[in-house]
Amino acid sequence: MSGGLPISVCLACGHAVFPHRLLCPRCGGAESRNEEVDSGVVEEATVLERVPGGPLSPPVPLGSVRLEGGVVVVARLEAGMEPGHPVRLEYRDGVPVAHQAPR
Amino acid sequence: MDTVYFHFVSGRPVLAGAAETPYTRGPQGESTPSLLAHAARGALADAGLTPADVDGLGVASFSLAPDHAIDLAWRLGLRLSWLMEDPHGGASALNMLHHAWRAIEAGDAEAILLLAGDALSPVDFRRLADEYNSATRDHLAPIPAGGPNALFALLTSRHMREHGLSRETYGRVVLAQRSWAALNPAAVYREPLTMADYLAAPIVADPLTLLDCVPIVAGADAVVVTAAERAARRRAVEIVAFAAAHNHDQQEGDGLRTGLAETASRLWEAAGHGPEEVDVAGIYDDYPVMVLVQLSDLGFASDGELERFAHEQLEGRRLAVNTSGGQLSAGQAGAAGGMHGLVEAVRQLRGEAGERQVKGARRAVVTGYGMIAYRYGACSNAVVLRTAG
Repeated sequence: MSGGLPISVCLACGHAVFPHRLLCPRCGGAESRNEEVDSGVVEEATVLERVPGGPLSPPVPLGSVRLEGGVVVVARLEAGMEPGHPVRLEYRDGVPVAHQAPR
Repeated sequence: MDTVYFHFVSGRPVLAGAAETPYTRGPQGESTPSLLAHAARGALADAGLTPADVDGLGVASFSLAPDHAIDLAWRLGLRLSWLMEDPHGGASALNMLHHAWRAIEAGDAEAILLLAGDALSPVDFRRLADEYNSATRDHLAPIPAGGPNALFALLTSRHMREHGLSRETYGRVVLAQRSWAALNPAAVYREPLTMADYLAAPIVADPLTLLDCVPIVAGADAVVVTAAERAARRRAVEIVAFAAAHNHDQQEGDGLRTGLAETASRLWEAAGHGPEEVDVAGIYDDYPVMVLVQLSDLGFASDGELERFAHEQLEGRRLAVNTSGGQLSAGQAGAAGGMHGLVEAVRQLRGEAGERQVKGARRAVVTGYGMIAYRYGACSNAVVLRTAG
């Protein structure tokens, strides 16, 4: 299953969050709708190379991605992506994956 | 005739005792309950009390399950009028201290024992890292983000960019704490480090290396809180002021400020002095970046001069921060990490810190931080202490 990342948008005030909250942090509203967002920009990138106990094989590139609309999420990255890169975000089996966006 | 159920004398709360088990690189045959018991006995002996004197118990641990605080109370033979358990990791010890402080003031209990500790193997740690909370389990573990290290790598990158810093500045925090650790026989990591060693350490997640990530150890810490009247005057440490700010920005910020930024002015006002009069600071140090962030939030450092601050104040020891070596060198014994700085502050304020004693130390601040809700820690608290009398 894949598509954009489903962020939560408050029905009362329009505030967007990810992950979903029980109540809107801005207005306290309890009702929201999911909206799939598939574009953003890499803010920071790293590659996880070690976990407690030893090296991680294969290493995992991941980063913070600022989605269109301002929500920042943690996503798996395609190798070699750097801060400032525009990305196309895919939600694949519960994992946000950021691909290099076509220029 | 009226029945009197409780007739406690309320009073000014003090830290009457403190202890830490030796920290070790693995559990070495000890279990979490056995380490907690060891720390409990140490702190009670230090306070001149016995288990029969204790009427309050608080415990913080990631690995007490399936037991809870009451099971530990039973296994320690304690009869209690006050009982709590706090799961909030790096903020748990100060959170419990806050409640204990109020309970002593209110007369709800006379002698409260607070315990924190864990015997975690790397396998336990990974399981904990993947199931820390629902957001981690559902949105970070599947990446796999592998626990907090990668998240703090991203946070450190943000901090570097925001303040124009290079890795050396964080290295200064690590080196300063390691040089304190050399004076602490109980620190697990005491070998001297140079900046070249720091920069060449194996990468965990760029820009963080093994030397930036707290080493996991096994151990436990304990403190005893009583009314001043119950404590030996010479050894008591007074609890002066407390502040907390949890989920202060709803995880919608950048993690480069903690909740302390918004509570610091009230903390210092309640303490009756500012950071410039603090002799010893115990700053929660899961990563060196968080030491700098919290020192800024508390007003010890200003954001524009962090490199100079790290060099002159921390490496130069003009400001005594994490004098045990901190968790970065003494080790992080799970939930005990939140109490480690408190125990060190008590030792410093009593003049019992051995070779690393800060001369004439009378005032201390200790912070707690932690519980990554999604991208960074959501809990922050701080306590100001002073020598009694």
